[in-house]
Amino acid sequence: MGPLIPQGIIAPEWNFIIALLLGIGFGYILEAAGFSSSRNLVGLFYGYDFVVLRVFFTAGATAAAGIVLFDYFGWIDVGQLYVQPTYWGAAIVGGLIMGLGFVTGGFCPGTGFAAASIGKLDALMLVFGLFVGAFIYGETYPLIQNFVNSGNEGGIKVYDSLGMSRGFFTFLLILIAVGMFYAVPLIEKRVKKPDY
Amino acid sequence: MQKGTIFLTTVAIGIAFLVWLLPERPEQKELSPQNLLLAIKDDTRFFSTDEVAGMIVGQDPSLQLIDVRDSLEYVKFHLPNAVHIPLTHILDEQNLDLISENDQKHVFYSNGTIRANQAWVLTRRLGYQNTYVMKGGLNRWVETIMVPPKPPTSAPAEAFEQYDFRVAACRFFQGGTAINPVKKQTPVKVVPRRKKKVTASGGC
Repeated sequence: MGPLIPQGIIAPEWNFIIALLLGIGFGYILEAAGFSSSRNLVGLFYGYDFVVLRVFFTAGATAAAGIVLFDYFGWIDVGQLYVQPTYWGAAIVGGLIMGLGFVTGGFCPGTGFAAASIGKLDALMLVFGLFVGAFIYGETYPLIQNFVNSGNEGGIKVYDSLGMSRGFFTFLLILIAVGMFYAVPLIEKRVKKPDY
Repeated sequence: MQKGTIFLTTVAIGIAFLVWLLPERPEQKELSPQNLLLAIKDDTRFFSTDEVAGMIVGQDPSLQLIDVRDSLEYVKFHLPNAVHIPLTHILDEQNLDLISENDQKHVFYSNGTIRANQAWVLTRRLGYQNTYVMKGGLNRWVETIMVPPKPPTSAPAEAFEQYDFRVAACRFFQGGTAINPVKKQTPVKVVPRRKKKVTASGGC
């Protein structure tokens, strides 16, 4: 049955409308989870607040279990799902830039927009910087083109690389998530939240 | 510990075990035969020769023409900017890399439609989305673009527009000279403008 758009069950013209609705829902959840506060977000780096880890691990584990179950029931054709190709070099450099930006700016791009929408000035500057960065990337693309496109490994998956089955990997992921939900409050209790 | 926490933990671990134990379906990367049949029946994969000519003339950057004939035929004649991938080499890795680029329309053509259609079926079966076929191939190209047939005088206006387009495209591809005679220029009569005298009427 699924995915709905590639299978032609929903016309591709609906793509943007569905994206808009999902985006509104995502923004709502981010704001409701307190992700529009950079204090909550960077708490992950200092160890006094693990809300980011909780929310994203819940989302990841739910989605992973959902895809495996849907595949079993024949509701989704996993082969048609798009898997982002892996570029080692570009991913590492990009990750470093993103991490540095996250810990200095206090937001990742999605949460930055959520915070900008409730009028946080630092988030507005971050969003502005995001466009400047995209502009610089676009202008310097011919120079870094070879590096960006080198080492395409295709849509490889963690469980294939580790040589385990998809089901076992999802099992481990859920166990690790549950273990972390129990472990992180212990860290949170020990670290005192700095008084901003 | 709260009751809710214990319940949620049990559910999560239960699902985890279930997910582990469920048998995995063999992953099917290729298009299923049913979907392939639907795609074959659907004729949206075809571009007419007029459409292709329009895209070449308009320098559409998303157009990627692929000549699937053999090298002798390609050397003899091929469409402008067409890449040469003979049908026998269509599954080579670097060729599939080219076809997998999603932001381009990869249009196969051969002398007729058959070999281009074969290339399309092969790539479509492998799951590549953006492949198309120039309907009628180079034979239709010659019939319609290189030697466009003049429509009968009773034909609708669209037929004449199409004919004009084809003649223009033919000139574009063959570098011919203008066929339409230059109209005689009639001398322009200069009519001097004079300011009209307007008498004031009304007012505030």
